[in-house]
Amino acid sequence: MPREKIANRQLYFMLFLIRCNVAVALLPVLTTADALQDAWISAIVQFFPALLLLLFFGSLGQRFVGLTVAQYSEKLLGRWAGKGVALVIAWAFLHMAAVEVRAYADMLITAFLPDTPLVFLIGAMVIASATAAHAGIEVIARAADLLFPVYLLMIISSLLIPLPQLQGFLVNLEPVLARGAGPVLRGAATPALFTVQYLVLTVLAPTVNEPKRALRTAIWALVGATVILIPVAVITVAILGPQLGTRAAFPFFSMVRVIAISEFFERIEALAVFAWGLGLFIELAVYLYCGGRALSQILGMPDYRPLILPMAVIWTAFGSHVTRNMFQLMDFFKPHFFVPYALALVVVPFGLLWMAYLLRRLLRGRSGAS
Amino acid sequence: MGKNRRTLTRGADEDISVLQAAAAREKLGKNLDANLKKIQEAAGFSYDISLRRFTAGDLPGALLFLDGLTERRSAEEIVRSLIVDSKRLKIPLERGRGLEIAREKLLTSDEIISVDNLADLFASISRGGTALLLDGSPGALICDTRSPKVREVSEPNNEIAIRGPRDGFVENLQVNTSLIRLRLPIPQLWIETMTLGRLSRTEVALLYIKGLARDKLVREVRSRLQQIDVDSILGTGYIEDFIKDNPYTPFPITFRTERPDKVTGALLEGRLAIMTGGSPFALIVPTELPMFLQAPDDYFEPLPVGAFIRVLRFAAMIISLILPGVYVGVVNFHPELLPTTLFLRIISYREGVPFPLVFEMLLLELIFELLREAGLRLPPAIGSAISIVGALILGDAAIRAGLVSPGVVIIVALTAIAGFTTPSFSLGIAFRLLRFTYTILGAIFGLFGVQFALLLTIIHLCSLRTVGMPYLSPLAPLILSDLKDSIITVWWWGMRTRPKLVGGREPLRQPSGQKPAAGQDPEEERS
Amino acid sequence: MPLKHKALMLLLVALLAGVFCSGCWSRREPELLSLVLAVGFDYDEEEDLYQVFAQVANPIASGTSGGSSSDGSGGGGGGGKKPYATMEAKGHTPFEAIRNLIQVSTRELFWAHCRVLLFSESLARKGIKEVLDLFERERQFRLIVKPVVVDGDLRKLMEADFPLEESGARGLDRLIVTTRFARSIFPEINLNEFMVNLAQPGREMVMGRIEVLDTGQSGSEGGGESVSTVPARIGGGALFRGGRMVGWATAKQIQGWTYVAGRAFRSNFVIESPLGKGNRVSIEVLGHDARMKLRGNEDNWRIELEVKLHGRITDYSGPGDLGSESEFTRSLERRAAAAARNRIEAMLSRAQELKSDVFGFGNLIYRKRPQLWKKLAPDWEEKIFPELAVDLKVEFKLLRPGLVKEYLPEGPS
Repeated sequence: MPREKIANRQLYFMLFLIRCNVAVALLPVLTTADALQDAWISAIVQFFPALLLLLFFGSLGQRFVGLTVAQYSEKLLGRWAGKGVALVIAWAFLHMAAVEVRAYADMLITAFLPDTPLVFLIGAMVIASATAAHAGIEVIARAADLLFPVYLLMIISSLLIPLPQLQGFLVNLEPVLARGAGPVLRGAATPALFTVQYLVLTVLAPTVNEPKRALRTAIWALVGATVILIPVAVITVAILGPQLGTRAAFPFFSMVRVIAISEFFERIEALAVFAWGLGLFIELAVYLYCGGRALSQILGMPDYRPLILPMAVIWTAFGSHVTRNMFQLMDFFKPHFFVPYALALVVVPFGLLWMAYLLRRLLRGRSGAS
Repeated sequence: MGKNRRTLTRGADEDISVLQAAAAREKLGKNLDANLKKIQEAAGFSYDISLRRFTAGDLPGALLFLDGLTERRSAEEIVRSLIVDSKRLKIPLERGRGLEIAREKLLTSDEIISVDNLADLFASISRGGTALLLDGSPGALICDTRSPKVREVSEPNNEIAIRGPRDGFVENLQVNTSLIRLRLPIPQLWIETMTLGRLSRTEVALLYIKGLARDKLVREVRSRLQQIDVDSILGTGYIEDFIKDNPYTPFPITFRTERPDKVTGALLEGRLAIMTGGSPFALIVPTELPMFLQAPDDYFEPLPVGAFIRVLRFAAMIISLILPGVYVGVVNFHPELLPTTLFLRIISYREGVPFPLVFEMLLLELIFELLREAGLRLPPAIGSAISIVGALILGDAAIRAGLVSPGVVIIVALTAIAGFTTPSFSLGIAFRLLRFTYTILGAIFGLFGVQFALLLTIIHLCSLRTVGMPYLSPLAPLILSDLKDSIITVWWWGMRTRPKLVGGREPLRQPSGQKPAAGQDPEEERS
Repeated sequence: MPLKHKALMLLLVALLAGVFCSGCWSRREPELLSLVLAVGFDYDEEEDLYQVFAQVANPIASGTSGGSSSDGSGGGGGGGKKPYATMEAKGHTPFEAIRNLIQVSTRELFWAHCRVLLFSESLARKGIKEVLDLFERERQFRLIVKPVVVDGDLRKLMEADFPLEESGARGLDRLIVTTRFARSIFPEINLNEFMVNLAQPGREMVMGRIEVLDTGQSGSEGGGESVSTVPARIGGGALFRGGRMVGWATAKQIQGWTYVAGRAFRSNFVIESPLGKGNRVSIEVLGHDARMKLRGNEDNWRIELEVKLHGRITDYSGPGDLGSESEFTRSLERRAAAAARNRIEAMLSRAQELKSDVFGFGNLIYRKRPQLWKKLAPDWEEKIFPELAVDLKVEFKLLRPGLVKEYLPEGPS
């Protein structure tokens, strides 16, 4: 199977979309904790722990250029432990993909298509992503090239339109930091841990044209997504007000709904939903591809493609059942559950890997010195 | 002269493949009569085979040609040079070396090739050559006596440029290649030919600019062409199907055109062109989707107009694809997106209409496609009238009868008009097919369905390649320097670089700084 | 048939079925919908039920298409059908009431184009929280509807006929929405703004008021007879505390409110000219700038309210030269400022009377000094706000006199 290569720019677009999508759609800075009107500060604050987390698991891959996590974990920890670690990461992909597609489907059902069974909406998204994943990372990357400007345009228009009316609403952002730093930090917890999404980097890094710069590309993607997230948070909180904003399930969309340009263009939220769908598609395709690749390497298969179909089916079933109802979905993201869970997903495998790596260095250094 | 049909001596009912193979193996020996007999029999004494026997010196010879394909007095010329000149110039035709001498010293034709088997001989005289056989010399000589019976070079009907040159290709390969030569008078314009098609023995030409087109590309295309093994190649369309990377896609993978200026432009970008005898369409590979949106007029209009038109075309392309689906999706699933008065109007249109909206839409589109097909078959004068009038009257009558609603008619008409702006016919067809899918999906899932269809289309397009080059470049992969000629156009002095993937060998088309700067006012200079 | 083919056939059939059957999940053919353009909620005291009135548009009459088969309805050539219909139902919750409308509606009700939300006074006084929640939660409702409280009979208003407009709902909508020149006497806010402000601590809201007029119409008559009297009038507002209405405010008081909190563009009032008794000057406000400041410290704090207005003269028929800045114009400005101040004070005292902090002074304290607010919050509404003394400064700037400088003199003076 010929090695597929994608440009760093394409990796940037993909990672940007991955992070931006959930952050904008669910606006966890606002909805998961009690940051209220300081949610936008949470958006700024969350960048730093996110960066740390990214560096933690991303930089190990830089030492093994050209290898995916499944491969270098076997190198570091031996065959079976390595496979186990890679399995944990593959599981992370599956879980994230299932939750995110479920959130999207829930949103569509709530707001637009109330009678459609969940499984069809999830199924449609799965089919699209699976087709893309099957076609290969190059195809996904090209699709990202194509869709990224469209996505950006839609999000930015959704932000620009309320600007003229924003003036009067800015008071909703006060009092700033009235309740101290606690709520702000709590609000930043979940979004920071969303960096778990970037575990895809560990599988994608070898496919990039310039693998040495892969981590840097990821960091820039994080920056870019945060740059979008901050105005989104500001405007949404301002327009909806902190009380309404926290209670809304999908604040960004509620905000867009409330905007009325003139009698003609009253409901432009279709734009934002469409953007979410496009970004989600790329996101899910990337997850599926990375999961497939990792799994195929764990199982020792030469090509990941045969795995896509069974994975898609499992994914659909999982997505339908991952949470019983929407309340559980919202609960999933709350910091008291999400933070320890996500942290475990990253710290356990990579903690082991780092330890193994450092041990090796140490041993080699000792033997080299003597 | 054997005009009556006798049964072929060699087996009454053999399959053509056997006969062809036999013809290829059949060598022309030294005996004139035996050769002539073989030829006549193999051709079934077809009535247009003309035979002119003569004796040059003491050597019997014969000229063989096909009626109607040769210039009228060509046989005369040849006979004269063999009989008269030979005597006059004192160059006798020796037995055994007759053909050689004839060729080197006596014959005055432009082009002379020698053949040694039946199949080649017949192929050559079918192209208008005259075969010369001399007793005692093996094989035959073919003189080029073609009569140029070709259509006049005129503007192609389907690719009209308001401000561009008006010549177009014809069915004769020589004329076509000459049109390209006129525009690229450099020795690096290489034209390779090969013969494809077992029965049609079509001449296929591959054109490229050596040193500009990538060698790998040339090798790949050449090998693909050489692998084609079919009965006949009746036109470039046949070739298209065989060299596709992905045979199942509805999107056009090669670019067909009748215009020499388009071909020249493509060659200058490092692309390759394929032409065949018998077809006025040239194929250009590798292709990219934005190529189908370009029309020569864009380059001949001043910039804001050209760019605007191109963006308009792009928008029209998207509209023609998604408009019906979006309409059905929005009206059936998301009417909250429509302004109130508009929605009330749509409701009032639909009062009393017996079919569901999507059925109306599909029905009207089907009718439109039927009208379009019918219009193509009728003679031009009536055809266009019937299409337009038919559409109008049908639409109006259908509305009056209450079978369809005016809203749907407008949507379908708009979609059709938007579809017509696509300069490329093949792309338009692909869209027409896809549109039905979008409409159906829009009817089942609303806008989400249209989004789903759009995603699948994007995946498909992103995975397409032509001869290894990605189909959607420069949009995906995003090559910023190439964007200037895809969705928009820029001034000619801005087109500094060639498309990266294809023309990468010589990236610079022209040096920078070509932009005209305001010069000195001539009045000022004097003072 | 091999399994692969069977699956394909099934898929094909499913797709086609989706195309033709009209029961494809959320798909609704548009002609089976009835657009609700205005909705009104009332409360029935005796039965403890919510009552909802919905006005729907009837597309046959409002759209002029030659295509619809008019002979399908049988008889009645032209006219005879009003372009709208009103239906009512009752229920224990607003949502139940809405669902009960199905019992009297021939088509499925579609709420997404509803633009006006009317509350009867009795419901407003009881509390509108349930209705607000309905609008927030249900996907078909939009938060950009305009809420109004009705002073008068809700049913009568909903069934009333507006001249020039094709339906009552349209009339209501246009009456409320097209208030460019009336924005100061009628708070034009949408539901989102209302709710957002209500949810803010230390702040209450006003809602517009519409008054039902007696036009002497006896029920609805068929189209063709032009009705020349408008059945409703907007002006004034209702003050709310939490989700409950606590009282009316007159147009003048609302003007005071808009000068501080709302939009005062094109507001106008009349003052008396300093020269000559009885000469009235009409002033139109073109813009305003209100700033609230919290001054002082924890124990000794006060609120400063600075309002700057500017406007022009629209009507004056008395003596005096408006051509240059002089004592005359300055005096006019002072009087205008005084008039504006009256209105603001009128609103303030009304709000204090009803214990509803519609100006949002409490909110100011919350935003600027959250600690102080924590202390004051429990007593704010009942004790502190009603006694609040506000430092009010009003300034008025006259910009333009209009097209003439001086009124036409009546003769040799």
